[in-house]
Amino acid sequence: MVKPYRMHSFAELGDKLSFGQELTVSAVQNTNAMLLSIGSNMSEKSIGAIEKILGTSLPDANRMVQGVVEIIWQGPYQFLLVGKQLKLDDISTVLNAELKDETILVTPFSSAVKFMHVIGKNATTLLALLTSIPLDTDKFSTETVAITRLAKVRCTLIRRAGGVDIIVDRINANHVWEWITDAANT
Amino acid sequence: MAGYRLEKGGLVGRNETVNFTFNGRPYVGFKGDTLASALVANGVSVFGRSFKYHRSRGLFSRGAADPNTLMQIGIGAQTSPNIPATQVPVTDGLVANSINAWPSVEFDIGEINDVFKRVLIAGFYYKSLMWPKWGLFEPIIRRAAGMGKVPKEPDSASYEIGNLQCDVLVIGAGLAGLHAAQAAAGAGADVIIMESDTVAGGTSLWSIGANANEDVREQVKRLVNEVHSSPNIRMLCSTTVVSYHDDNYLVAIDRNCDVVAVDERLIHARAGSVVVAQGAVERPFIFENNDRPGVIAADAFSELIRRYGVAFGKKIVIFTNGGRADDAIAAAHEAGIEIVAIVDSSDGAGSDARNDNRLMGHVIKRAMGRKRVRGVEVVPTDGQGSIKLACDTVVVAAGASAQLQLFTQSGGKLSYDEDSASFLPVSSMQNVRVCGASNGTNTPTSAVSDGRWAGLDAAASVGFGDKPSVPDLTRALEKPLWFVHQSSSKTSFVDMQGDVTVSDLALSLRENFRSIEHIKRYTTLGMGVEQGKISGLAAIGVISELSGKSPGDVGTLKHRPPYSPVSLGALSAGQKRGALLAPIKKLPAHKWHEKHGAVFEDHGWMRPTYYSMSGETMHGAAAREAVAVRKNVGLFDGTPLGKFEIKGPDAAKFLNYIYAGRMDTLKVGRIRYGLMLNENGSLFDDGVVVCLSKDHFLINASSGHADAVYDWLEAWHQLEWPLDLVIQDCTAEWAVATVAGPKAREVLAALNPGFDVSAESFPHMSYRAGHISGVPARVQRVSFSGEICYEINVSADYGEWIMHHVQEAGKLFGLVPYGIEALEILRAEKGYIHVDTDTDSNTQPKDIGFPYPSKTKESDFIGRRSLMRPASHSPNRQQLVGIATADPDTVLEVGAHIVTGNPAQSIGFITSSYMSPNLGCSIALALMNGGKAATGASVDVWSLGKTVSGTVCDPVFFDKERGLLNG
Repeated sequence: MVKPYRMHSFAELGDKLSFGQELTVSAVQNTNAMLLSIGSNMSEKSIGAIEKILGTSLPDANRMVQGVVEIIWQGPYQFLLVGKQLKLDDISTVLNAELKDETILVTPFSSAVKFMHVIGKNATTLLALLTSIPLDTDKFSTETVAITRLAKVRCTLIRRAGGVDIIVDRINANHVWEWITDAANT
Repeated sequence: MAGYRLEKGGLVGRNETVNFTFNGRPYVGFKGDTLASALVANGVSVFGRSFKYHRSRGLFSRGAADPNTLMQIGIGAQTSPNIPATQVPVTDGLVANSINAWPSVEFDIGEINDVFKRVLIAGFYYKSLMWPKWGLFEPIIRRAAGMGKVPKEPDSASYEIGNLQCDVLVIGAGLAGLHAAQAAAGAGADVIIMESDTVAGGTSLWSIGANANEDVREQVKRLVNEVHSSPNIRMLCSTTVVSYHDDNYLVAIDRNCDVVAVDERLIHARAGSVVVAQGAVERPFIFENNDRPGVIAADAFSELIRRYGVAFGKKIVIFTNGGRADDAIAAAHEAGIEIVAIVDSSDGAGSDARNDNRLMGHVIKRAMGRKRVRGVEVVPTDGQGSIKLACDTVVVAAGASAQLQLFTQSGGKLSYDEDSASFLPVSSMQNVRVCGASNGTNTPTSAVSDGRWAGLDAAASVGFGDKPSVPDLTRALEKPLWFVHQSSSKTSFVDMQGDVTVSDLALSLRENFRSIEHIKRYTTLGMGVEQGKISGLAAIGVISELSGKSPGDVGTLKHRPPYSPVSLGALSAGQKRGALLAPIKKLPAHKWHEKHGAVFEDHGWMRPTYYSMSGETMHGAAAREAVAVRKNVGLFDGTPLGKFEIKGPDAAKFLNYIYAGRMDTLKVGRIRYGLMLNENGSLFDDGVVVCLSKDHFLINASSGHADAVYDWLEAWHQLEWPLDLVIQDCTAEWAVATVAGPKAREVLAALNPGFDVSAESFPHMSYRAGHISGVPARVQRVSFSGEICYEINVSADYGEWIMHHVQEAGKLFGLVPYGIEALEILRAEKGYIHVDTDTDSNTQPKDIGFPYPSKTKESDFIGRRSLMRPASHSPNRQQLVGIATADPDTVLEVGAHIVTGNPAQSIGFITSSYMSPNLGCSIALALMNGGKAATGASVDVWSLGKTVSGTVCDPVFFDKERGLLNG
């Protein structure tokens, strides 16, 4: 029998690209995530219960917050939870138990999404080649989340201090990585 | 002056010479010259030949508006056809050639067409070349048509994409545009100016204009410097805005990229507000032989002298209709060019006395000369007599044509202004305004006022500063001379680029074409590269006079993007080329497949079509794999299946709407096959629904429709049935290893998934959750092959591992990997359809053997009403059947028609066809009219040029009793 091993989708391309000192793009390995969807009719009380379990209020549209895990807005009533696997498992168990009569779904998403960090002074210069959203810090400030198209596929961009994170569907991750590599090489 | 280059003057770099070639001959220019100005300086008159009549043509206008100077620029991989020489900066080593002339531009055999122009009128091909058949003439016409040559080598230029956002975008950096930008920036807005010329300043850099003086040019130079140094203005020269779309989204091409090794940049710009300051160009006078080399627009004439230090001719006649010639007259005097005469079509009433010996009340009837003007014939506007004047140049000052193409692309409306004889902007649905010469102003003072108003208005509209009041503007009073009636209409050119004459427009009116859009299409007016920039208004005027309608009633042509030609390379800018053109989806176990000899094809994902062993062909490999599955067990990667989880108290109700069959009765742990229909009742997708737990379902959609199904679910939920449920797309989370065959159960047992895998405990169409080596797994017992089959779902990061692990576990049982081709054979043997292969947009459930709606389903579902239509019950509908060929070794071609009668009529077609290695004969599925009732009948199939006999049969060729499936 073959012992289980986990493959990252960037393994074949390498996990870090450096372009001088002003730009680094790295693929984040082994992130753990879950997708949380809640019904649009959920009561304030139930949402309060969710927030208590998560340790913070749910983020507004196009924002992210840090509770016991990171909570990233993905659309109306849908959030990506990112953190340690054990913590996510805990949250899933507690949510399913305490809100079993509510319309709520928490599913594993660690394989479904892949993360890249784009860091450095030239981060936004690079991203301006790939996406049409305004990247100035006054319009795209820290912890702002943008759901947009990058390299012709749907991606989530998050402004962090020092750079931008890209979250992309696993299926398209290699393609986005190749686009970024090609753009950065110019 | 030496040659045509003036000894002094102009803005070119006289200390920096540039060597280039034109039609194989070497020439010298200066840095700052365009190809057009450098050629004129070297005494070149004939730049090319016209499209239809191959008449000699020379420089007429400036910038993108010139119709006559299209060139082939560059050689080899870098060559580009149909570039106006007025827009090509001359550089060292530049190679330019004329187009549409053979063997040379000086002697072109095609000029014979000019002799036959009475026959080659507008639309001649609608009335001739029909006998004996058009097909004889078409290749000749195709060879003769078209201008320039495309490169045969791959493009070696590099292109980049850019995304810009700003508060105010100003299009045009002339006097008005610069003031608009400065005003907007002064109010606090972030401004971008895009100017298609290589330098900012517009015509004010070299034009004096009416009632202005030398100071205007100096003011403009200072203004340009101020704008360059403004911190919230970005100036992009050599950048042409080519299209204007919704929501103030514009596309521009930057041909002077600041990034090394990028030849062109395609810019996507998004602006809060837009100012259009594109300016205006001189339109032509329409008279006999107005297309000859030597006839030039007044603004182009002045630009040559003051900007490039080039005299266009040595003895000139100026033709004006009263107002706009002053600048050309002044420029001619500055350059020491002899003005033979000024022919003024106006009667001079009300104008200031002029001391320039004008011929008032006269018009040029015709220009004489072929490869260069050598004189003109002048006649009075009314009365008799004519005068012939010797000259080498005719400068025409007919009036301005405001450039409003981008404004109209924005949805802007135009209105004809009688006083200025031009179309002026009225309103737009978008946040855009027009200023300067585009808005009809004709003095520097008005341009400045208008520009400042536009900038402040644009800034205020996006929250910067106060809204300004509209200034009083001066516009020229024009007495248009649309065409010279005394001239022969057959050589009075309205659209020089398309060889469209006054005679052609008159013909179209006689043939009852009334709309200018119809006249355009009939005559090809404005359909060339110039796109009506100077011919548009001229044509409207001519049509107005010929038809008796006002120009306002004639209307304008619709301007569509691009404003000027865009290279295909720029459109592919960034990474939209080669392997990066479209996202390529790879399986999580891609490397595992490669290692096992997979031959991949793009099935939406890169999937193994087959696994090649020892140089097998595809058919050989697929047959081997299909036999192995039926004999022992096979392993298939089913990861691309769509996977959508739906949860909530209304989940079952929602699924009942979505599917034609009932899903509300599906028990926990069970799976049901479902058909999704569209509103027409036709098949949209087939798949399975798994009941994971109470109120929690998993949809498996076909891999080819996964994205469409997800959009479908969300659309119906959000827009029609906002029921209490949530939907998640989990397609990317799960990898699927499919184990199929009589020994599949043994393989699953060897994996030890943590639940009972016996037939009794885990029947066909059921679901279990467990762990395989500690990795959570969902196992579905469904089958597309007709064998015992388990789809093992694990987290996609373990996708490669699960294939490896199952393969190891399966070695004992003779497991082989199998690909798409083998799967297709297996499912066709079982008569299982592939939606969109064995169905088309008309196929309904009953056609493939599902009698929906079932009696037990009372609730509505998508498509239900359409299934009630009489046409849905017609016995002659195309129905799914099997076709067994009389010769078992003959494999029918997919798409081959089932025919009957004489002459043969099609009554159906083959949808899937294979040689079945398990049955030892060919099998085919087909859609056939009234197919069910025809079971047993003999049919003919027209396949690959031959008639093949066959018999209509049950589409299930293998295991009709389903004994294997339920084993």
